[in-house]
Amino acid sequence: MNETPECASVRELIPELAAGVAAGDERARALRHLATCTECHRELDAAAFVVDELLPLVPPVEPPPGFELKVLAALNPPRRRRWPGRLRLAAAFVVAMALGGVGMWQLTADDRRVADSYRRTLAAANGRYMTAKTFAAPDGSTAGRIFAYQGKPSWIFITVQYGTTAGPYTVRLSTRDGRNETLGTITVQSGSGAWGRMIDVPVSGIAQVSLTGADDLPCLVAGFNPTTTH
Amino acid sequence: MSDESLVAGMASGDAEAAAAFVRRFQARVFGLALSVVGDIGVAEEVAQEAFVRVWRHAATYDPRRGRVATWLLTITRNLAVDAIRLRHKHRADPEPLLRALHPAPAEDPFDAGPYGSDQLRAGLMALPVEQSRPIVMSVFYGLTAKEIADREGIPLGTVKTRIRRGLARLRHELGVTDE
Repeated sequence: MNETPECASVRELIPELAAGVAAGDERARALRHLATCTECHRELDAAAFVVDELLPLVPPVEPPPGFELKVLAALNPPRRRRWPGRLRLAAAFVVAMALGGVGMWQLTADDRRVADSYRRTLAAANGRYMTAKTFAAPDGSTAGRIFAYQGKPSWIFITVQYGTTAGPYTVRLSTRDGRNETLGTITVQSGSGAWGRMIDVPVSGIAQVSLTGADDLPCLVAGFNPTTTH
Repeated sequence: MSDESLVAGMASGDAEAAAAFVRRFQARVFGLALSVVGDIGVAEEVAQEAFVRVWRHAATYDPRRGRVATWLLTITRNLAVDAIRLRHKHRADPEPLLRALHPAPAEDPFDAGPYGSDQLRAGLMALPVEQSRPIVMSVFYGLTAKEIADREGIPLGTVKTRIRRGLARLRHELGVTDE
């Protein structure tokens, strides 16, 4: 290809174009020509290659202490799923250390598995918490249990293991603000029975649940006082 | 892990890839920034900004257009030149940098040695100083031919000719031909 006067003019500028120091107007003129002239474009590519290869010749110098940390802080990379998990692990580790060290952390592995299972159970129905109380018989023995789940929906489930009697028990619920509600009837046969239903009151609002037997059957009461566990 | 893999990791927001990338290149980036600006504090700012730019634009890196090191060092050099232009503190004397480009004998037997092309380094050292000086002033200090002519007290046309001839010889050292 013949070299035009424009080629000669642009080639004089190529070293500065390659080094990225050409002035704006000259650069614009040269780029217009380069867009149509493959020979000059090739010249520019070759010169730019030399410039690129010159930069790595500078000897490396270790930056001041703390440089890496400053850079990483400036990057402020989004943690994207990695860090939250690590932070949770770190927090759990700190708790474990507070409880008595790594040994305790290892010993409580079962507890953590249970806790994880509990969280998943709650999550199944938007649950916030779940509790269990005992029904006390008149003689003080445990006659049954009630499990209460605070979620959407909230519900209770009652099991009775008491004596050898049979018959219906009326399930009554008393709230902390003084309301009483009859929820239904649980049938016990040979001292054993189970029953459950959804409830409209929050579990935290329950004062007690009683099972009132007909005739000569005893009254079994499960208190929901926060200080009475089980 | 390759340089390209680290950049790909940074493009996806991987903080560990970013940390590895900084560790791998920080001495080269800081060394280049320092050689251009001549001030540790400014060089540190420039080097930091270079890594920030790479982090932000990692997704646009195209390996077909050049090596990662070349991309990173070009960003560093441009930022360093901007920094000295902003501060009106162009370095006047290219001799210290020219001397630094001489490979020092490795004292550490496990030292990998200097980076870059040995042929190019030798070629640069073999150039007449009237050619290597304006090349260094242009490539590393970001000075235009006119600025070099003013500083060196020589005609503009002479500066352009010297740079062009010097680069042509270096092209030859690198084996870059017209064909």
